Amino acid sequence: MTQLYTVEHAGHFCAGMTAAELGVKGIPANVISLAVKSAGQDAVNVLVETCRARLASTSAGKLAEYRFKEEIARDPTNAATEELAMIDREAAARGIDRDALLAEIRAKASAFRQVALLIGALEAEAKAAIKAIPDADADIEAQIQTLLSAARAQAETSIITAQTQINGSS
Amino acid sequence: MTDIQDIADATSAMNQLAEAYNGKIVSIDDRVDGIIGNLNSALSGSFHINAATGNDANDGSENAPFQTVGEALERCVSGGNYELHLHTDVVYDQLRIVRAAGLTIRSNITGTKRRFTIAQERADAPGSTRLPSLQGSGGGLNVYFLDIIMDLPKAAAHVTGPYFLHGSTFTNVFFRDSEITRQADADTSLLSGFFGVFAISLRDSSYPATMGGHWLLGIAAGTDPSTVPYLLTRNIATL
Repeated sequence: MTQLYTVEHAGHFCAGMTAAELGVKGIPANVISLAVKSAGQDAVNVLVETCRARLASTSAGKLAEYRFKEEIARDPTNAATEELAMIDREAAARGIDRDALLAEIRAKASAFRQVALLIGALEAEAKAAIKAIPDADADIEAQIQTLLSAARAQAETSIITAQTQINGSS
Repeated sequence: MTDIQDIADATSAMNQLAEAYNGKIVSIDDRVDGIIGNLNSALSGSFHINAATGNDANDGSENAPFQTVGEALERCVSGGNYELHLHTDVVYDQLRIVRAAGLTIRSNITGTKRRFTIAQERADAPGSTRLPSLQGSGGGLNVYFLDIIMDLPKAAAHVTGPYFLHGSTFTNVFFRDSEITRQADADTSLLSGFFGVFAISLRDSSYPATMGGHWLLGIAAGTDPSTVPYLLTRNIATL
């Protein structure tokens, strides 16, 4: 889809214009590049928030449960006896023992952490890379699209890898 | 008569009946298509306006244009879609109810902008407290400006709360390849409405920073469009 920009210059707004159309209107190159980069940063935000939404549980209660379980799985020796009893009940219901369930929880938590941290890293890298594009470059939009495509592809691969484990019942 | 002959006769009769039926269906389809075509023709059309050589007694065709936009608006049928082609710059100095559901006000030459100046007061009702304006008639209204320079005025002293377009239940305004300009000390807002929902979008169009506070009557300059629940905007950073 063609990216349209709205920029203010010399007391006027030019609205809904492509970068080329802004150039035709006499908008200085540095103003155009600022608008293009700003839109690029917005696109990064949309990308990473979409990724995060795919990972997040839609239930606040379920999310809290994941956190409790991860805490227990990380250090079961310090967990309350009553909480371990609940872990045992779930393990029994699923036909496995406590250690197997805790190992599964740790694996899922690890997968979630890795992909969540990766998205944070991709966000920072993409924004820094957009910022670093020289204002004088004629192909800023193309460079941003390349950056976004690379970030999207990397995030997609990681999410698919992690989702199988993360979306399990524990 | 044998049974076989009876069956053959019955089959032949049935085939004849089916043929007659199919013929009727084709005939009915043709008539319905004709009626729909007539309706479409009645509910859509183009009017031409030439402020220099036109005449409101004309039929508004390209060869016999109207002189005023107001006359073209009067000829629009309720619920229809119309294109008003401006052959010259125009000064709009009337108040008209827009019965059309879709209205395109455009230059007759793509890429050549026509100035659409809104007068400071009404010529059709001197002394009126209302500005020359378009008034939605109650249904949905789409107004599309193409290759137009819309010039918003400072209203005459006796005009109160000046605005150009009074919204309907749903009012969609789209500027394409157009400009909005404002006369010195202009106080006219583009839109107004006591109820209903508005959408404003711009494509390859420009407006002065002084439009702030004049997009929608009563909405202060600098307002984030997303905070106005009855307004959708595209490509307008602040109202």
